[in-house]
Amino acid sequence: MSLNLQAIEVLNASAAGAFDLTEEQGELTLNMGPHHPSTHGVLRFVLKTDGEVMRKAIPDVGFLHRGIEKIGEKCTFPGFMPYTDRVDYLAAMFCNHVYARAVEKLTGIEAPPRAQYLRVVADEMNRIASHIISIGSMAMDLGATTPCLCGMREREVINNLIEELGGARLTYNYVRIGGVCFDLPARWKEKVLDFLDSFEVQLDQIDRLIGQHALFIERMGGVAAIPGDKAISWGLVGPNLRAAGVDFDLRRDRPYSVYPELEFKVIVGDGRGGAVGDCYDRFVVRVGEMRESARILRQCLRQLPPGATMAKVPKKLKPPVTDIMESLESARGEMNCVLVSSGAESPWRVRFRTGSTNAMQCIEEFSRGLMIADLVALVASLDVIAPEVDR
Amino acid sequence: MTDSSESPARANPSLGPDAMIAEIAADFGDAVLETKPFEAKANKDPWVLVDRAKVHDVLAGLRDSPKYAMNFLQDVTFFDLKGYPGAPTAGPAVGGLRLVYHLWSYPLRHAATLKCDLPRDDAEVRSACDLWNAANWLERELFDLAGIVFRGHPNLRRIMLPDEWEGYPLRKDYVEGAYALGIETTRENPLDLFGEAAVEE
Repeated sequence: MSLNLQAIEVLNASAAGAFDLTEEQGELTLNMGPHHPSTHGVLRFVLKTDGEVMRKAIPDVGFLHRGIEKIGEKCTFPGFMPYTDRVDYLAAMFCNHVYARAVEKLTGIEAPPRAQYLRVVADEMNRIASHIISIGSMAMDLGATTPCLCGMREREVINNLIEELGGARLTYNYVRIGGVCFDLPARWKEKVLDFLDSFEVQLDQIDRLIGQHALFIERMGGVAAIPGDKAISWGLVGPNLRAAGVDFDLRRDRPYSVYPELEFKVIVGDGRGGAVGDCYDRFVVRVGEMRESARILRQCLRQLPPGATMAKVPKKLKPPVTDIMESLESARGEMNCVLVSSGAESPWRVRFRTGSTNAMQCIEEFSRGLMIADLVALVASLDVIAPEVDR
Repeated sequence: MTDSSESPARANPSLGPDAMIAEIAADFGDAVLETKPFEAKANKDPWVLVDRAKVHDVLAGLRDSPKYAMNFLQDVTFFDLKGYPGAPTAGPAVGGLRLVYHLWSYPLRHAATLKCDLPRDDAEVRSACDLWNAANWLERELFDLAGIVFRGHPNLRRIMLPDEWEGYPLRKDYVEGAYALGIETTRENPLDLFGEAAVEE
């Protein structure tokens, strides 16, 4: 096994210098995490600092690696669905959705129109819930507790509504291969519309509370600006990419499901906090996206067609031998699901490529020269979720 | 809001799935081993199989040529060909690993999929880190979980698994040990109080 030896050699060589602990004049090596309140899950940074100024922040991930891709090879195609929730537990609906779409692409099953609409409704509800956590924790990490709690109150309503819809509050398992598992409960539509009415007012209030607060703008504006070309090279996706001034949204530019029938605006960062692609732009884009999600929800509920919520799906799914990739716009940007089928009942290979992985790896470059407190702002504004990085 | 990345869209048309593989086969003729056309009905994605020694040249060409302008590396992933029904039956890559690159062009809005077969015992290929920063962690993950060595990678070390882990879990010949990090990997079924599972057998 020449490869093993070779790989182990590389490994040993790199393990010794894994975290280069040599210190230059006046340099200090600091450990941040894995259990730090601002690290959004379990992750660790090794900081090289010169006083308060960072020379480097090296992310160390893998604490939440559960081997989801390996588990997928041992499950049947429908049996893997609950595991997809755990890829990103703050936006589980998107993982459900992308996996269901990938299997449907493999097998040629098509979900009925009502199911497609219900998926988009659930997605957009989930996007609002995820973005609320994101901007709430942004404020929380900078020291403001109130906006986070205001956001949590709104998110609670969404959780209740999704619980009524699918029976679960966090790991939904709502989307099925070929449709969704439940139709709307009675009076649910009205409840969502009532919620949207109050939410839009609340969102304006939260936006006024933090987005227009002089201290918040001071802390976020111009900090860790990521220019568009670098954002593309580092593979940033979703709100982080749009904040960098790249006008791209899968929902509009590579449309899937029922998005071609819906009208919405793509929010792009404009540098109003100081520089295009800074932490404040990433905040602004997320707030704008929540407003657009509310708009999409209203349209979906108005246009919701009648009909079945499940297509005819065979008891045993045995897709043909092929490999495909399917992607959609999750709350953290483009999420790809690669499925390889060997003609058996379980996948040959499952692969999720998520937005947080790339957002995490770019921290090493963009944290250079920041203050330690600004690293917290950078991590929060990139909306990095540890389970999505490690899978 | 002006967007500089949009401007080349007028200079070059975006290529459809079939035109894409035809153009790649024409431009990188000696590197391309096999092409797979798009089958819209069967939902089969098109792809191009590239020679392992030249895969970096093709990737660089796709990124830098204004005709392709592939500035986004969507994904680098792999799957095991050992025992896979669709695997090639001849050549050095029998029973090897198949590396898959997914590329996307933001200015031209088109995609391409490149594949590259690696022999199992010598799974080594040139790193794409110098072309896209995004390749860094994607390749580290493959190094850790699949044992693919990326030559020229600036920081090729483990990312997911503990340092003392043995074997590459995503390969099909990986055997799970009885213990992992000193913890048993199997346990008794807590629901099986009266040995019913044993009775059934």
